[in-house]
Amino acid sequence: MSECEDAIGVNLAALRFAVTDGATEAYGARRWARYLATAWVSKDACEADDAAYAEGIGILARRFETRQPTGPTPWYVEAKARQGSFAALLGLSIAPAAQHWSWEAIAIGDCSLVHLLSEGTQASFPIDDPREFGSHPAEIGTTHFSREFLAPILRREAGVLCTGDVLLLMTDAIAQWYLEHCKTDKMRAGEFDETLLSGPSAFERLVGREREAGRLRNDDVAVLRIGVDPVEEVSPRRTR
Amino acid sequence: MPYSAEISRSNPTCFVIIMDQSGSMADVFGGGEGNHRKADTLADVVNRTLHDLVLRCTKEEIRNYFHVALLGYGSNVGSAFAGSLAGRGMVPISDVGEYPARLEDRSKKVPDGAGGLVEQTVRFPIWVEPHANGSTPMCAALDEATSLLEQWLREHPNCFPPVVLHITDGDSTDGDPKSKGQGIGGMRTSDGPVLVYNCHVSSDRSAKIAYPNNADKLPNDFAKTLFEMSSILPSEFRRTGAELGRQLDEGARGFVFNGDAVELIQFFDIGTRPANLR
Repeated sequence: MSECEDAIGVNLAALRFAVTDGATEAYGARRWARYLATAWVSKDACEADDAAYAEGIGILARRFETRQPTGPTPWYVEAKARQGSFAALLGLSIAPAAQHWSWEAIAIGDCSLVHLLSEGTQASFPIDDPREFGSHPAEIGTTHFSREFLAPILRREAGVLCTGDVLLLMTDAIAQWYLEHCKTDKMRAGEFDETLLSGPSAFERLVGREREAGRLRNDDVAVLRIGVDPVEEVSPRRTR
Repeated sequence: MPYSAEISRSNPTCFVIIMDQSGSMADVFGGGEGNHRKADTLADVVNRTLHDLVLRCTKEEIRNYFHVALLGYGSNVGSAFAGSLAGRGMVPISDVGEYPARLEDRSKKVPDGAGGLVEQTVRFPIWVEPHANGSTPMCAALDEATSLLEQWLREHPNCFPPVVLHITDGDSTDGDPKSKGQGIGGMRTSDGPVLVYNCHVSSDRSAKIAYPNNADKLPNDFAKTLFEMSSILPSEFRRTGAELGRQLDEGARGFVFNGDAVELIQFFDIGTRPANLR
């Protein structure tokens, strides 16, 4: 777990949630992934528009860089830090309303949101085909955060939440697995939901089993489950 | 499916780089065009490749996803590492990173984060110095590589198959290397055969032939020998070629003939980028 480079952010008061995935080969990826998730849920990097978001990421990147190790550093740490750090982000905000609550999401890269509607259908964002997951997803970099860089890779989506709906925020490996094995198999999707509700141990067993069977890539996984209960209160459940 | 094993610290893979350091490597590329000696360019490209391999394995520390052997042949045959790694065979990438022979200052343009570039002085590690002496004992070098790989494969039977990158500018002077090269390509792990890539660099202006899938257009027996010693590029490596702007046909071999400096750089880029690090 100490080497996990996926991160989760939850701010219940603000109804803001995030999952992030630090790039495997990047310097300080775990720290950058946590920065991005924390910034999203605390509104430090705001989604209002592309320019505002880029500005927020720029401030975050400078904060990341000023917290590098000080004093003599090996050449490879210096060179790697110069390359910057990278991570994919899925950020979600939920807005209460008298009738139906609404949600808005942004995505850079291949962390994915699945919206399970109480009526039994589901939708996913930004990826809905498991074949679309690749080894070079879009990412937010500490050295690549200008509006011109972010705007073409930043995706937005919005929806309405009803009682009984579930939102799953997932990093790439588990999202790919889900879309491949659960999207069209209601029984399997239900079992997965039960596993999430059962807590971290059950989830770890599932991950181990699916990796062993070669169905799930051996990558870090993070899932955030948000369910809308019958009195329309949103209860987040965190599972890693 | 071959070439799908994950590369991890518990299941690392290795690269074997074999450098021709014979006297003719003192000649410049391309029949006198430019001033770049083949030996200088090769040493520079190998140093850059090792630099990049170390960085790929660097988090806050260096993780041993790779081991590297660096062999040279010319007046001597054996480890081409300089400095404190001199004489060592297969070296974990963490030791490669920790022990360059020296660090030199270089000027580099780095992103400023807002779309621009700023110039910085950076430390660049040197592991191998240019050498150009003696004849071309290619067979002895391939024997040395075989010996290192035999030991590696005994210890890592399930790893992503090792990649051998061989750079030469001329025909072997100690026998026919074909069977030795093919012998290396016949070694295997549970994930597939060892990959042998050959790059011939030239002082002539002859047309270069890069990654052919047949020997029809090769100009002589030496070129055909190197072709036959070269592995077919797995799809993963062909994808890397495509990302570098190079469309490689199915069945393309990891082989370049009459390559120039640019081709040499790309040869290393294609040969050292398996992506399945975990």
